[in-house]
Order: sequence, then C-alpha cells, then structure tokens
Amino acid sequence: MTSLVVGSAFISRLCSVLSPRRKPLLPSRAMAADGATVGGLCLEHVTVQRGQRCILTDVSMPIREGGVTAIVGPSGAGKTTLLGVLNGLIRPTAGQVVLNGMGCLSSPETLQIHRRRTATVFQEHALIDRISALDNVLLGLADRRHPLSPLPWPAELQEQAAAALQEVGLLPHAHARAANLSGGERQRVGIARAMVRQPRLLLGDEPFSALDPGLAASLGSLLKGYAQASGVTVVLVLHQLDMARRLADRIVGLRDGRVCFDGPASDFDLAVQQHLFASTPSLSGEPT
Amino acid sequence: MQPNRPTPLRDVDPAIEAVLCCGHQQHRRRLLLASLLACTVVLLAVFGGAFDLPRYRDTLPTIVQLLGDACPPDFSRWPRWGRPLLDTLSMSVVGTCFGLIVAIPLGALAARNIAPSWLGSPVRLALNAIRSIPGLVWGIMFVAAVGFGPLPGILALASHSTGMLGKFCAEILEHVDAAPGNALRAQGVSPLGVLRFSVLPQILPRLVDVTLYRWEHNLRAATTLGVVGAGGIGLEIVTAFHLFEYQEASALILLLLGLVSVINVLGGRLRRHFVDGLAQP
Repeated sequence: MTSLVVGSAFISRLCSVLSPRRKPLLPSRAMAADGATVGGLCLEHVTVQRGQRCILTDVSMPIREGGVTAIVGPSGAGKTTLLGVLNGLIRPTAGQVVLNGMGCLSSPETLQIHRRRTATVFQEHALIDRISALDNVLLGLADRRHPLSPLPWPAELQEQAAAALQEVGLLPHAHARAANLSGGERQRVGIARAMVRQPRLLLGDEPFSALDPGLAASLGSLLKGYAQASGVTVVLVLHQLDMARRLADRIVGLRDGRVCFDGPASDFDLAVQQHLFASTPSLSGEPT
Repeated sequence: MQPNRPTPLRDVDPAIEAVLCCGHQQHRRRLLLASLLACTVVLLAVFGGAFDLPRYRDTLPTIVQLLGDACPPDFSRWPRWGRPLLDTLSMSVVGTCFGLIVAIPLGALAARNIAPSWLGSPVRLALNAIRSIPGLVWGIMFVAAVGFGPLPGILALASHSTGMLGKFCAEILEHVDAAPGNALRAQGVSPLGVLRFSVLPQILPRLVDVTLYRWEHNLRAATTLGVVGAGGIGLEIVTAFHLFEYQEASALILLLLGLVSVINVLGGRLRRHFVDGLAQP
C-alpha cells in the first residue's frame, strides 16, 4: 500500500514536471552558459581496438544537435564503447571525433569544452556508496567548485541538486546513503546527477535498465520532453527496442562494432531488428 | 519396487563431468596445501621448543607467585605518574600523526593503480624495509641519535607507523572504485577535483579506521619503548620491576589498562562516526 502511494505521488510529480507551466531544469538554447552555438558531434572512421579485438570498426556518423538518438544492438556490439568515445573517456585507436565548429576531441582544449557541456548516466550508476544521494548529485556540479575549498557546497548548488532529485522523485531520500538505495533509486540518482549539469549533450548507458517498466517509461518521457523543450541532444544506449522506437527520433544499430542501421525510428521495423539480432549466441554457447 | 532414479547429468554430459572433475582437483589441492601448512607450523613449534614439556613444570607456580606479590596494587606514588603518562600519550598521538603525514604520499606512490611500476616498486621496497625494522630497534637508534625522553619515542613510532600506514594506504587506494572518478573526468573535472570529490570520500573512512587502530597499537608500543630509554609510563613499569616493586608495577599496569580502554572506547566512537556515518564529499 505504501509503495502504491509513493508510486502515485511520483507519477503525479512527473506529470507536474512535464507540464508546460514548469520551468525546465535543463537550459534552453538561449540559456547556454557560454553563449556559443552548440553544434553537433561527428564520428569520422572511428576504430577502437583492445589487444587483438576490434570493439568498433570504422564507425562514421553525425550526432546532430537536438533530438534523441538511440544506439541498439546485441551484447558486445560496442555500444558502451561508442558512448565512451562520445564522452571522451575512450580515445579512438584510429579516426576522430569532431565537435562541430570547435575541432577534434583529441585536442585537450576541445575535449575540456566538450566535457563541460556533456553529462553521462552510467550503466553501473558510478555513485559513491558512502555519501548521501544529495551529495552524489552535487558531484555533477563538481567542476563549479574549487577542489581545495574548505567551505561546504554553495547554497545555490545545493538547491539545484535538490531540485534535480525532486525531478526524479527522490527528494525524500536526499540524505539517505547511496549504498542504502535500491538499484532503481540509484539509477535515478545517476540520472539526477547528469541532469543537474544542465548539459548540452546527455549520454545514457542503459539508463533505464534497473527500473521497472512503468518508471522506465515515465523517466524516458521526461528525458524526451526535455530534449524537445530545450534542444538538448540525447544519446541513449538501450536494450529495450520498444522504448528505443518510442523515445528516439533516430536509431543507430550496432553489430560486431559496425553500424548496420542508421535511420529514423519509424524505419526500424521487424526485418531490421531480425537482421540486427540474427545469430546472437544462445545460452548454450552456440549461434542460433 | 525401487523408483526409477534419474541418471546423473555427469554420466550424460562429458562437459559437466569435466567441470566437476576440475572442482575435485582444486579441492584436493587445497587440502594438500592446508596439510602442508599445518605440518610446517608443528615443525616450527618443535624447533622453538613449544613441546618441551619439562620446561612447563614451574610455569604456573611462578605466575601465581608473581601475581601474589603484585597484589594489592600500590597506588601510593600516583602523583609522580602524571608526567610519564602524558609522555606516553604524546608519543602515541604525535608518532601516529607524523607517521600518517609521511605515509599518505608514500602510500599513493606505492599504489599500483596510481604510480608507474618504476616508481612504485622502490617505494614499496622502502615501505617494506621501514616496516620490517622493529619499533624497539628504531627506539634504540633514535635514543642514540637524539638522547633520552619522549622525542626518540615519537620518532621511533612515526618511523614504524610510516611503514605500516603507507602499506595500508596503498592497499586502500588500490581498492578505490574508479567509476565515480571516471564520471567526474567525463564531465571535465580536474585530476585534483577527482582526488578531492571521488577518491577522498571513498578512502577517508578506511584511512581513519586504520589510523585509529595504529594509534591504539602505538599506545601499547610507546610503553615498551620505555625499556630502551624513550621515557613514558613504560620506563616507570620497567624500573618498578627492576626494584622488585611488583605492587607498584601492577598499579602502573592497571593505569595503562585504563588508558588503553579509554582510547579504545574513544577510537570506537570515532570509527563509528567515520565508517558508519555519512562521509562528506
């Protein structure tokens, strides 16, 4: 009964968040901090190799400004690696990532500018267990505070973090240890930490994997609403194909480290899905 | 009539049979290793004379005699014990703090996930060398170097603590979860920021834990350092034994026991605060 009450409160909260009267947490284009045009990203012949194994092979694709792009594909296709290349944590073995109008991400200055505009929701949450949910969200704003400052987090940043927690329905758990939260709650803290940055590019590595279908759908709608309202570019790695089709404007299908589908979500039909997921290894270790 | 029992899977599938066989081999290997270890301990005990039974003949009566001579404890000279007690306390606190200050950077350099091996290996070797020299030997060296009193005790405890805390610090740093740091790096936070906002909140509780443990250890070690002239309550205890003042010695030991208990309780509270409480980023 309690969970029903909490759930309904959360859904109503989400509805209020999605209503047009509310001031969006993420910035509009006009609110951009540095006033520069955002521009998109472009992957040019990107190859990532680990040892003898090619994780990504000659991947070329533009990430246009605004909209939601979903990256789908079987396990081991290179989706998470592609996301790592997009946020600059993984450097391509060959090829380059170009930030339109700013240059290549191999330049430290461009990479720094790109990273300050980017937020990532990680698959394994990447939270610090010993600190509270609120403090974990505040880490999303760590680049706005001097590392050696002995002062507590500025009140303004604390307010932003609390607002982000409220957006994902976790304000009542703001002071709970991250270690004491459930998998779904931890995932929502991860989403709040990314959203509090007010990014221009929001990357998500299976951000809904730990959530139940209802909550996943609600948070998916929340992200899509933000992308539409503020022009934030969203790139999500998703396993749920139905959610990918519902949320994304564009779907990129990866298979064995290569792009084998790149088109509007409406074109991602059953035949494409069958082609993408054909010969996926079965549980017995044999190709199906 | 017997019910039909299902055929074991191992008889049907050779792959399952191979996995089970490998498990049995591992179990036999572990059993062999445990037996070898037990035999080694017994042999070393024989070598050390632990089974030389005639030598145990007078043990119990002697201990009972000593305990009888030490009772009741004589607290009559307590006004003279304040300064030695303070010396012991200061040796343990300052020695631990100095050790920690040197141990943190050395531990960071020794951590395999932070420093390159050409730098980490010699630092680890140095920490091993510092640690393997007993506190008493450090005490003798520093008494010779700076004279009697609490100062050689502080330096001796700091030296040995550097070796121990440096190793602990390196291990703690090696077990830090890299994911939150990567998340910060992905948003453009500087290496110093990653250290401050991700590494520090993760290591601080464990670092406090091992430092408190080391402080408790150093309090007891500071007592034994009195034997080599480093002052403190240990010197008083040794002097009392040398003068056959067993009742005064037992009173001093009770005093030390009280101090150690207070430190333990205090340490336990601090530990609960840092380890179980919420850390601050």
